[in-house]
Amino acid sequence: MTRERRLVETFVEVADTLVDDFDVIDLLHLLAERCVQLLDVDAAGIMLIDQRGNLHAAAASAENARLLELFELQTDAGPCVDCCRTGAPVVNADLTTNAAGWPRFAEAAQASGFVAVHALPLRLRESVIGALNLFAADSRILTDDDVRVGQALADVATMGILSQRGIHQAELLAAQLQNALNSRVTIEQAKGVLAERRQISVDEAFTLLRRHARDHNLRLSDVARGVADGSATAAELLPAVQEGSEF
Amino acid sequence: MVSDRMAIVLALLDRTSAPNGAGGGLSMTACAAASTALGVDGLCAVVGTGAGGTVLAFGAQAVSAALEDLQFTLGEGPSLEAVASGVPVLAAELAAGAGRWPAFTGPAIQLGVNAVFAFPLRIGAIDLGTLTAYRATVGPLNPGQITDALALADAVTLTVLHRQAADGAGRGAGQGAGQGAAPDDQPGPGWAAPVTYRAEVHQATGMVSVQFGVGLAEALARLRAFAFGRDLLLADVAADVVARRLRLDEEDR
Repeated sequence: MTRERRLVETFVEVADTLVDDFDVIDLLHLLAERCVQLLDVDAAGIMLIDQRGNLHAAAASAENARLLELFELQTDAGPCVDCCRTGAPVVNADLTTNAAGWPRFAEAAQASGFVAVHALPLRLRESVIGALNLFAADSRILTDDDVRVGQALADVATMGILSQRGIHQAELLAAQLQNALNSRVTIEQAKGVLAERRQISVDEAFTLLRRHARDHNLRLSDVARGVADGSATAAELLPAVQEGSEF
Repeated sequence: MVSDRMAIVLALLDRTSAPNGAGGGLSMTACAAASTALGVDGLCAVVGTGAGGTVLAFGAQAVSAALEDLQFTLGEGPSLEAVASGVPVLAAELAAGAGRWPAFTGPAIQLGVNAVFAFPLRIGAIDLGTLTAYRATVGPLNPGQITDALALADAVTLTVLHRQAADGAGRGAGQGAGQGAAPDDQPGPGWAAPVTYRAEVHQATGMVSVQFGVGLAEALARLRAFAFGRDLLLADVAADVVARRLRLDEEDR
């Protein structure tokens, strides 16, 4: 498939999601996954700003602890922090030269096998509400076209966050961000519950949660909530005894 | 970002809110200062949503209590809606939205309340209640006040969490590993620190809740009490739990 064709399909898919009763974390995951495919990078994630101005991971193309750690490392310093502060993209930042002023993040990213990193802002008029973070395992340059596509996907993420169900007032930006981050917290709680009940890793727990949501056409947040608070929607995910095998 | 004024309130909360402290987490001073920051006449944190709901903090006490009673009796209103939807409910002009809460609106206005803003007290799937602010004059909260209110709700959520855990321990419900959350714990710096979005903290909360057969709220309170009691970073304790290097009960033996 040509990139143009994939682009078209992605925007059709995303538009379909946005007009439906979508789950914001599901949408952000989808966008992160599509970034990896469309921009030929190796990992992508979306970070959002909380009401105290700190950045937190909301979704990643691959839900593994190592990658999430790379997002969390940027709470204080990193490309996403720079991007959010200036509102400008951080593109083709070379991790090896350590020139950008976040040695701790650069070291961790390199240890995970990445050599280049990019951050594109999630913009809303004059505010920045977060950043799209891209990681590459080779030093291939992100072209201007790549940046435009990435920025369009970041803009879609912004639109999705602003149109979450239940919050209708446009001025409630802080509440919308908090709601998205709170959905993320619920997912983490559910990962913990499931990991302990089934004696699996939290990464495996996420895979089970997401597969269950997709197989049953449920919203990821609803499944996570069902697991976290023990309500019936996800009963089959939770074995009465600890088996740790396939369900 | 949180305003300087609200930052002072949060610092006050941090210092004064023992898990079982007088005032239940929101002293009159903190409450008055918070009301000023939010430009409202009163604030009220309510734990639980049913008959057992407890009014924790007051502005003008009679009005707060009457507002909550009204909603509980009628089964409708902004606070109840905030609990049900999990998102803030901002009624900047009660009279304009009379169709939304037909039974509640008239009596609320008679109490002299014309604007109500309700924020859920929650951490992921943990739902504890609401923080409700009200005002005699109509008009919205500005974006800065909304940010302040969200940060305040965050801090109040944690003080409520620890208060409940301490109450539970006091009733003998928190045996064994619950020692960490016992009432003799002194509040330390960071007691009401903001809810961290760090993934492991919430993963560990889920794991601890299964390990001890307790709710998520108590599990998080135990984790935090464990960390603070040993002067450890919450994130480090959580990471150890998630990596299965640490079980809170083993450490207590």
